[in-house]
Amino acid sequence: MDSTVYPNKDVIVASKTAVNVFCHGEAKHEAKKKYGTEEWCEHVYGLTCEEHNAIKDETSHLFFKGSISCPTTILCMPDGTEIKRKVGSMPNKELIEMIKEAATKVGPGLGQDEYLFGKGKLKASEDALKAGKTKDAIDALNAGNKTIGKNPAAKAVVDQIKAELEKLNKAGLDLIAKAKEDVAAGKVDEGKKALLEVSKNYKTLECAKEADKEIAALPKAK
Amino acid sequence: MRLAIAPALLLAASVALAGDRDKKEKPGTIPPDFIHWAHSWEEAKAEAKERNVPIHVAFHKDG
Repeated sequence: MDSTVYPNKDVIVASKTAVNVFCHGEAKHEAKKKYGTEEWCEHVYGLTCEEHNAIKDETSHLFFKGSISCPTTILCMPDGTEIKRKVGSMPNKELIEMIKEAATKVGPGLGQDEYLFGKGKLKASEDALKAGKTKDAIDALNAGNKTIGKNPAAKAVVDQIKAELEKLNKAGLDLIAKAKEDVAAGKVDEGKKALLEVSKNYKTLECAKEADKEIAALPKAK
Repeated sequence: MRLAIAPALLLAASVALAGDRDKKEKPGTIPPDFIHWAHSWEEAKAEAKERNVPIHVAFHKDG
């Protein structure tokens, strides 16, 4: 199946409606193959031989008592409860149908492309924050929210995006509070600078509007 | 826990950087798309729960 079924484009499309686990416990496996900077298994794109061996070890006892019939395809609920299994090879259409049936039973679910997109934006935001680029972090989260925010199946990922935006909004409000303290202490220029930073870097968040209000309320220079 | 997006990100980076290395190491042909396989059973369950989708387990060879 790994050389005929899995590379099939219709099978790949169907696979995006599930999470896929490849269990291959071959002891004398072929050499790793380089893909750009990565070394993955010769036969399984994106996994090393150590990984597919380890996955086989950690899952086989969940689905087999004694010897393992290979190939075997099993569809499970998200908690790992088995829905259906097929022992032996099967044509593309049969595998597609198995995945489709399981996805219908479990779903509606979030497609892999949208999931990867949303998670990618969360990662991009995290990286931008580490680099001190608050505006880029907010832009990444907003892009994620804009694309998948209205998909009910994306709720879990969208909630994470919204939580990150709320955290950033809180951080902006904290900066405003500090700026107001500076202004009250007579350090107007310092406070104004901080407020302008919030207005610029936290744009689209509530705290940016709050910063704008505070800037407008600053004492006018004589 | 490693994110499931790792292979996709690595692939994108590999494609972007492949130019110079192609001359030296001849990396394998990267297919335009492929099945994304989870890196562990726990990762698979966490992602399936988050996406509300089934887990497709493929047993291929037992040692």
